[in-house]
Amino acid sequence: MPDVSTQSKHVIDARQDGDTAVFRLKDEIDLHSSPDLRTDILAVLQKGKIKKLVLNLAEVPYVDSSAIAVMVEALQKLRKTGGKVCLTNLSGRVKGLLEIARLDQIFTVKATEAEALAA
Amino acid sequence: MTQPALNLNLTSDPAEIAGARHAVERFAADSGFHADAVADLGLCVNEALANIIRHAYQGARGRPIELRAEVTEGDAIITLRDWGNGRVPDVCDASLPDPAQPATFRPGGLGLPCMKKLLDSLSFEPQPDGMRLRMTKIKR
Repeated sequence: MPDVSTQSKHVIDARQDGDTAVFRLKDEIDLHSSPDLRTDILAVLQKGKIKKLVLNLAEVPYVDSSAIAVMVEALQKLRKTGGKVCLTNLSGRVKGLLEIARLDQIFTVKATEAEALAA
Repeated sequence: MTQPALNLNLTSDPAEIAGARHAVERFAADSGFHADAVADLGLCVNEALANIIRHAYQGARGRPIELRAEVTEGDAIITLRDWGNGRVPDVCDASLPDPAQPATFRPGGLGLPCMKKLLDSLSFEPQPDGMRLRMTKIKR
């Protein structure tokens, strides 16, 4: 997959293959840093043709609602063209917040990135 | 032994949220709260600070926020004081999205309903020059 240029300090790497974009993220994401992540993700989606966004959160121990809002915004954009957002490798705390916010059912949650790519 | 109260003088800079959250989590853990309650309190402080920065101070940096965390009769009480616009959020109207209707989801507005769900009480006390937010979590 070709790499995608990003600015956010939370992006370990980002790549695109056809209509799939994969972001591997790291560290705690809150209001301080979620705007940069939003810019990176929306930039990829705005180029068009993306049908599946995979966010690998294996190295993300914590997110707040501003990070969840970035994921919801990406999902709303992709849903317009029949696309989806897959979240993988969730920590217990990230999964817990999604459940509290009742959002665990609207994202495609997979245990691994490989499962998300196959979904 | 009663844990001494935690007092933090913060500013309305998103970069300060993580440090304040970590401090409150340490305080709650040292006060004997269960790990789940510690995480809940940390998230609620995070969301409360983010709301103050975004709404009370409308994104302005460098404005004061005072945080106090204490344990009284086994309950964690966290107070956040700001000198912002003093507007009381509509707590009653703060609801979580309905998973059955994903098309109606909007990216923001999750912080307050999550706080309502995780805390035992949440009250906004308007001040002549701002707001005091009081959050309580009972030790179980």
